[in-house]
Amino acid sequence: MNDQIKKETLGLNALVDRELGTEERERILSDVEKDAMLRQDLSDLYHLKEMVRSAYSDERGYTTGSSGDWLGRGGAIAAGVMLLAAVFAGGYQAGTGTSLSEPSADVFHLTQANADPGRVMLYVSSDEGGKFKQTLDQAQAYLDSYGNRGINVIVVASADGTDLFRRSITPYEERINNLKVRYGESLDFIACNNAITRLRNEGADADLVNAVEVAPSAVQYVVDRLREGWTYVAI
Amino acid sequence: MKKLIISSKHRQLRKRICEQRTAMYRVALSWCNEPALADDLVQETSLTALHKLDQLKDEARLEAWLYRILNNCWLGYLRKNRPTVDIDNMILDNGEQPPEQSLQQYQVSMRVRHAISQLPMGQRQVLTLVDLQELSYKEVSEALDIPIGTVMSRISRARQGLKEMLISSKEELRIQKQHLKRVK
Repeated sequence: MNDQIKKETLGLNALVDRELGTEERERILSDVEKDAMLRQDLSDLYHLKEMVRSAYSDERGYTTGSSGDWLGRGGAIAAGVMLLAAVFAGGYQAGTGTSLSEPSADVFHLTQANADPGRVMLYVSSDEGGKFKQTLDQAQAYLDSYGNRGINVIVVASADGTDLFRRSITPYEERINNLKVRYGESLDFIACNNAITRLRNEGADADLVNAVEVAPSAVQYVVDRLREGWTYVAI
Repeated sequence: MKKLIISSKHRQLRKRICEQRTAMYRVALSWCNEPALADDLVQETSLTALHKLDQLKDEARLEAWLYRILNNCWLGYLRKNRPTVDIDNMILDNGEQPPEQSLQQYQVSMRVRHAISQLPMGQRQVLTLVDLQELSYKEVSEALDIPIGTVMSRISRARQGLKEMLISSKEELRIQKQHLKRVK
């Protein structure tokens, strides 16, 4: 059966799943850079991967009871699905030279062909694997490295990522406020009002860190910035 | 002293198993598409894992071990309830149709889930273990007891199938433009 699947297709999937060593990864990326169709295929694979993840991201468990938090069933669906739906609709492609720093293993880039590397939007939808810290580290790294070139960074949080900005939960309140003071208008933190409303409806504390602003929909916010040429990085 | 160390080790493993339950539920739900059944599978998997903790040779492989148990529970259910079905190629037909064209997030998510449910079981299991649980190909190979080459081919086919189902309908997924309104 394997011979019916192109080697390059297996390679692209392995790349998306971070299964490749450095040499093989570089070889495939080099091929991708030269071939628009491969770029589109790679972009589609990243989109699909994120869609699958987002489709179940709010599920917590079916039954409700006293056995633990895992039993509380999430009722809403992650904004990430719509984000990817919008990205599909927009026809964005994987960028091949727009990253400002070497992305970590957990970061991938979905950018427009004309994305502006001086405007970077970091999107976080959960804290899995320490993504909150990674997001802030990445934002600070961009600003420290390229701040003198006028770079702007936006950190957008939605779904479970909203916890990054919730005063009652986040361990990063002081850091977020300090970053905002330090970088001023070059750095914005955006929370999703849909996610906040959902939290409040569930009776949760949704007070946000002072430096955070609220957009009606994180998904639409991201889509609007993409249309304006911002570079999108999903953490 | 040795007993105390083992007890402490078991406590940590039990905690890790409990922490995995939400993730296991998502994977189980993606396999069976029935919340109540997914919950039962996770419950059975957790209990089995807790009872067989001593059989876990390498703590670093806890996740692969857990999903191997989950897979066994799932296969056991299928053998009992659908004994004549070719499991690897089984497609779920739960009677639900994908929702009508909609801009609602819930409906988009349901559309993705429906597409996943249309994949053959062998592909769906590999896809969800890699994408939802972020297991490596090697871990998936161990969990499902299949060669790594099969993992690679199945995930390629699964994504190709999803692409045909989802990207071809991308116009349906277009969302209405809203303007940013900063509340604060």
